[in-house]
Amino acid sequence: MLEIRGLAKRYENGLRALEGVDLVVPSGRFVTVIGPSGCGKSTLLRLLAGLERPSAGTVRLGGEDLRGPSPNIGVVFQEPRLMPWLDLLRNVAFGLSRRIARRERAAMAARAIARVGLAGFERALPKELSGGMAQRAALARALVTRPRLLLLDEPFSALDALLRARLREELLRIWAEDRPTVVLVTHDLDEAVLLADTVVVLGGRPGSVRAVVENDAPRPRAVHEPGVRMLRGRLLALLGSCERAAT
Amino acid sequence: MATLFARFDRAELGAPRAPGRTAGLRRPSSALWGLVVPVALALLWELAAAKGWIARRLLPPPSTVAATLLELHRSGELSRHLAATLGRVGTGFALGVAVGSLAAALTGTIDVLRRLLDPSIQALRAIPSIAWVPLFVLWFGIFETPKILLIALGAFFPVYLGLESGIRSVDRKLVEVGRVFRLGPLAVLLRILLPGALPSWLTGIRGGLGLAWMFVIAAELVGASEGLGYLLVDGQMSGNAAVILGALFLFALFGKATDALLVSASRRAVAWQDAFRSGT
Repeated sequence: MLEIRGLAKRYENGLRALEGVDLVVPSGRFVTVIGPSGCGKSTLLRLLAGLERPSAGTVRLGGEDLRGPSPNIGVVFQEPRLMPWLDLLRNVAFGLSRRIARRERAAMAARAIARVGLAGFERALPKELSGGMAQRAALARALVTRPRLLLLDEPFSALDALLRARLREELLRIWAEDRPTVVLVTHDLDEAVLLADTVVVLGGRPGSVRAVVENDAPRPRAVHEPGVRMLRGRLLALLGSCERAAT
Repeated sequence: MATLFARFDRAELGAPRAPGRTAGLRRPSSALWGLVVPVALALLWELAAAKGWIARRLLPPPSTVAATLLELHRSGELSRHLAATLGRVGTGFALGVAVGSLAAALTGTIDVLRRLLDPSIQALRAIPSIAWVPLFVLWFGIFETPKILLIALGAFFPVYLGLESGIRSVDRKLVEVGRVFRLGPLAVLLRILLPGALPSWLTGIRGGLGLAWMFVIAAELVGASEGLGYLLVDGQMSGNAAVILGALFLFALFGKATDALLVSASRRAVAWQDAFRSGT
């Protein structure tokens, strides 16, 4: 279970990014976070990842307080952020503890690479990978430690529509396999609805949770299905009201 | 018609040349191209000396220079001088690279050290390194120590600057990946900062090698009894221009050779770079 209580972030320059965020996510749920730009979506994710310290509030994962980055959390950023000097296998193995034997690390990385459909490219350098392949590699790097919580910050936003759809499918397949809790930030409403068990709408400045919408539409889902379209419409209306409130 | 068209294409539009025909002419000769001008000049020079257009005493022709070098080689003196110079360059350069890299790694990772030391290092850099010679002689005498330290000092600055700026320009986002995986400062340095800074570091090392060669001359001009720099002084004292020219030639030869060695060694290390004309 992921428990967020009273989470707030104020920057040194006085900018208030988030205030009073409360959210409880049962284990294994797929949560998407949407909201107008500047509402603190990315800040929320960075706080969960432990990359920034909250000004107030707590984040607990499995009953334990999170302070700073944790081995139980995998992070995929908007950009692949691969080390350009390492081949794919070494990039994916990057986060594995050096205490694990080298051969075991290589085997774990190879398995993660196969899971994201990149088998055969273990020796490729990042400059030889396409954008979609590089983002898959980043996903493999986050998955290789088998995290209980997977955080994704607009992971597909730089890819074309077709590729985005394909990677969404693969993400769902991987999620179904070992069921980590997922928090995915997106500005794409379709993506939010297609993926999520729960959609969290952030809004306002400083940002806070405006709505939490459960999504019971059966999987697999498609954009044109009535349930999906209805939810999309509802979220659009919610976002609209957030936008008005902000201006 | 087709031929005519092709020729038009190549000449007017600068289209890629037909590979089969020009590759043989361009590729293997690329190293030879660089030799055309020196060889032509040497021939002209030889001719000018033979015709008496120039004073042989002041500007002896290449054949005389070669003969002089050969003579030095036979007597075993040349290898002694070469060994002395190469030894000094090697030791001083290695020392400069080691200290420069260590200093940059420290100021690049520990912010307090950077704020504390970097301004001083930048200020010291403004002193032309030759200006240290009198002080070094005063402190360390006139034997090997001051020479090697001077060369090391020359190599230090480019290496330090190269690595320091390289570390500072490593993508913050990559460093953040290190934080996600909870790497300590040393692991961040070894696994992210140093590899990321490698291209800039190598550029600095190459500059350091160039300065090491420059400073070995400065060091050997001041009170040395062997080395290529000593040959220069000796040639001047004995009015033997051929010895001076021979030493200059050897400086050019070995300076270029060590540089080429370094470049070819570093090319493989930065093959991952996705840069315009990477590897040239």
